[in-house]
Amino acid sequence: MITVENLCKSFRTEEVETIALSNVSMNIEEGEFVAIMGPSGCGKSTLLNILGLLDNPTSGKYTLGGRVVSALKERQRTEVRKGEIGFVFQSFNLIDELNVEENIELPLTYLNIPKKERKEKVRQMMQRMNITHRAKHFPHQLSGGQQQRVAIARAVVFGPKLILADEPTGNLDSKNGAEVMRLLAELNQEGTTIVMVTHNEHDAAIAHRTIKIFDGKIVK
Amino acid sequence: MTLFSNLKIAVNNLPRRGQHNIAKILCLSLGLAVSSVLLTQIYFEQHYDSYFPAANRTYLINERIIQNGELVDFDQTSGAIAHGIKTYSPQVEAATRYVYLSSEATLSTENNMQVTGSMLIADSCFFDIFPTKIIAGNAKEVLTQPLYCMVSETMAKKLGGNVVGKRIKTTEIEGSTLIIGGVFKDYPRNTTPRNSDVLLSLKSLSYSGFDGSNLWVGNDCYHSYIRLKEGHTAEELRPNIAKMINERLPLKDMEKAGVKMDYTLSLLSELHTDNENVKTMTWILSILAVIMLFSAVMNYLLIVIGNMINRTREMAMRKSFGAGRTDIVSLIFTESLLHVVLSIVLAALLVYACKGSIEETLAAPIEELMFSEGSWIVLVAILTFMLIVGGLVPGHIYSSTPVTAAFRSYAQHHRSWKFVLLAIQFIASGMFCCMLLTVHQQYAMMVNYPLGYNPDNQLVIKMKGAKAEDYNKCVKALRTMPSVASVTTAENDLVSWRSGNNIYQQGDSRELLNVCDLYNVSDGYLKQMGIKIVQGRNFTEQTDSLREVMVSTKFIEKMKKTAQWDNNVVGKSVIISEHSPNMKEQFTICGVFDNIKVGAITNPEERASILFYNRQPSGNIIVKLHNITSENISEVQTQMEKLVPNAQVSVESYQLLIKGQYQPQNSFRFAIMVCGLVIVFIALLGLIGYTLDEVNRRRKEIAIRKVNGAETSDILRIFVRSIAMVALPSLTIGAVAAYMLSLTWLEQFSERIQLNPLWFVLCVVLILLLIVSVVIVNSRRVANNNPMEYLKDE
Repeated sequence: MITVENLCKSFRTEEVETIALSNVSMNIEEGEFVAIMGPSGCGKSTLLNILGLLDNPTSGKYTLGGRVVSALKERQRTEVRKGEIGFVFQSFNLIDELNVEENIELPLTYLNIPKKERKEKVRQMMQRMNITHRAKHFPHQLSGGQQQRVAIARAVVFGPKLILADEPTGNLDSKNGAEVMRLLAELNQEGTTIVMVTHNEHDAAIAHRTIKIFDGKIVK
Repeated sequence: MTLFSNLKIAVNNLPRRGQHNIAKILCLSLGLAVSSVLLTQIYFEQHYDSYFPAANRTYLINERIIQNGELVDFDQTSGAIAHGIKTYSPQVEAATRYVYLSSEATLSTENNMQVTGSMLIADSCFFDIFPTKIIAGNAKEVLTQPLYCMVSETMAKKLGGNVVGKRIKTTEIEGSTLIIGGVFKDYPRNTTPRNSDVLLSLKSLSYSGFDGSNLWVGNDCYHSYIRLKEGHTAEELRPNIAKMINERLPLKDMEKAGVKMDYTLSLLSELHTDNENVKTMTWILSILAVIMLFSAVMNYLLIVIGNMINRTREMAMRKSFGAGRTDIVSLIFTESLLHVVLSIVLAALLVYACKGSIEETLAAPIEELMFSEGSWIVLVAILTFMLIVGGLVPGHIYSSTPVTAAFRSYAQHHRSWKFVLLAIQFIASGMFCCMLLTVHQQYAMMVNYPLGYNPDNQLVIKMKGAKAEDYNKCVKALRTMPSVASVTTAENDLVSWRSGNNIYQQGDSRELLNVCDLYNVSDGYLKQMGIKIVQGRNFTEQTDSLREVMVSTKFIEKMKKTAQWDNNVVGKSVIISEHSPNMKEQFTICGVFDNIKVGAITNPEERASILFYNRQPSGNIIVKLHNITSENISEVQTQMEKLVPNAQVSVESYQLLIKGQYQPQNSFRFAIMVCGLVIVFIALLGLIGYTLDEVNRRRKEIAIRKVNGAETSDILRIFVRSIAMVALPSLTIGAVAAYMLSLTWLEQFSERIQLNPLWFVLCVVLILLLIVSVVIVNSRRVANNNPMEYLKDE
């Protein structure tokens, strides 16, 4: 599903150039659950952003589902991303002004799905995530675990083929973290490809395999 | 912290990014510049004649004439009336009368220096009613001696200073020399006798022409004033005035002529402010000024409080390290003080840079407006208001924000107040722009109004000091110029001067009609002016001593009512006062011309018009050019100066002369346009500040939306929708307010445009498009950027 060849990413300021990724190559098959590990600042999140088409590599080739996407413009990246990739972040990234129901509904609104269908999908997803009773609550009224469940619901409500999770348990206690990992494993068993960045060996163990990065290079 | 260290921080903060300090200062200075000019103008208008300590017991005498059932109020009287009322009324302590001789008299000194100025003839009591400082001479004595005059301080300077005893000549009194007997301090612009550069004694009147200064009826060209003793009212004078009328006026003759006469009094202090036009303009200008000032200050607040996201953290840090409430308030207040001071400097520079336009618009020197005693109060009040609102309010908000809340970006969820401030500015923008539409359309309608004559390509040449033979020479020479199509002359142009005369019929002592007398015209006048003859024929030209008259169609209508004439007036004879010296010589109507619009439609001339013929050219030379260009006008001017080097020649296009009548409306249009532009500019600056802050505030939300599939257009739509929800209703309110205001403003015109609501809708749509464009331009960056850049920061 994902093929990356000699991927490089550097950030340049007026004075210095920082190399975030250097000649990264890898393959991820459809239906895989891959964990990416490494110390802070090693380039994990940068790689995840490139895989999620949130950013472009400086050089190298990235093929997603058979299509070369490494040099797409922002508008084209949005088109490819829409309906294909779901994101889960460490800090949940829910919209404060929207309630639970609206937050989950968000990606569906951009896919021009009719309102009735949207509402039904959201209802089902809330049921699955066990947050129906919180439907009208706003993010600040939820616990961390509940917020992350809302974030996962939002990431999967439109049925993406790929879920990218950036330290999804990083802000959660062990009980809520385990619950989130259970949900991700369940989604993977249903056929969704999952790429997860984590520091946590225990979470990584749930994945099928682990890619280790150090100083922008894959070391294992 | 000391004021100095606060000031140092404020200066260092000036160029800081994200605080929009330049925009803040620009808004304040624009608002301050425009509103202070408007407010001082209002103050100036509202304190008309307050220069005179007894203005609240000084009265103008009005003549009230009832003729053939029609009531006419006239603000001038015959010469004897003012002192007559004083003689008959012990309550009156002073009286005066004066008459304008010229608004642009040419004065020549003994060493041939020429200056121009306004000249009036006044009796010796002039300074009793209109007191001002007498700098030199004894005014009473000067104004009792024939051919003696007093001059204003400015005129004295123009004449070279030290003028007492000097001799001057004027074109207004040919063949006589005037002696300057004294100098008085100039009257301020907002006083009735403001145009009095030269005050000539009443005894000089006979040298300039007819002296009717002691007549009880007729020759009603005198501005007459009385001043009551303290504690008396104008009403108490009624029986005295009635007695004077009974004893002094020829009531029997007047009754025969079908005329009744009375006098009314108007208080000097209210004379200007009671004028309906002044009232309307004052309250419209007040609204403009208040909205302008309010918008500028609100916009300042909008930007200041919009920066709270950035600055609450700074303030929280300061508080964490020991800054108290007073420190925070004084820091913010000092910043505002610096902004206000810089705004004042910038506003002063702006006013100075636009001095010419402002003075032209307000018809008064800017120094007199801004630096009059009362205007200072207005200016200080404005600045205090700005400091209090712009300095204390944000200071109070910052100081009362809890430290912990500040670290959590306290202000992020509070934006309803921003909408209120934006809404106010949008309402004002909508109102000004729609109002401008009305004012512009009305002005355009007035200057292009069908006049019944054709002023296109025509020039009016006025020659002061020219002799009769000069006219023939000039007309002949002008006709030979290749750029000139035709030349004629007319005693009066159809714009500036309107004299009246009465129409009588032989054997009928009644005054049948008062007509607008256009006096003599010479060969080819009607043809050149494009005036249509609808009955009879043109004058028999090239014939001397004609006793023919041409009348307008309105003349027929009026004569039908008063003299039971029918439609066929050609060949009928009338007696015309002034033209029939012994009231015996008759004039035969040779033709009727289509009605022409004499004067401005703001001051409509309702009387019928009459024209006489004189073979000898006189008055104004009217030149029709093939093409009216500045080169052709200069060519005519140069030629005229060569032909009559000793005369003062002015060449002006007829169209400009017509437009000149609408100077107050044009000035108002200009004021509205400036206010409109400034308010839209201020509103857009506020909008930019608001959008940038909103973009900053919502960047995480935008990034999340983008991650979840939102496209650039989706993001832009969010910002546009939120602004449009405020802008559309606000602009609509502004347009409705402008509609109502326009209806009131238009009431002052007898001929007015029909308001079309569609224009207002179009105006609202255009401003809305502008607003939307500004929002799109300013939010496009965040809509296009990589969303992770914003999520990374969170």
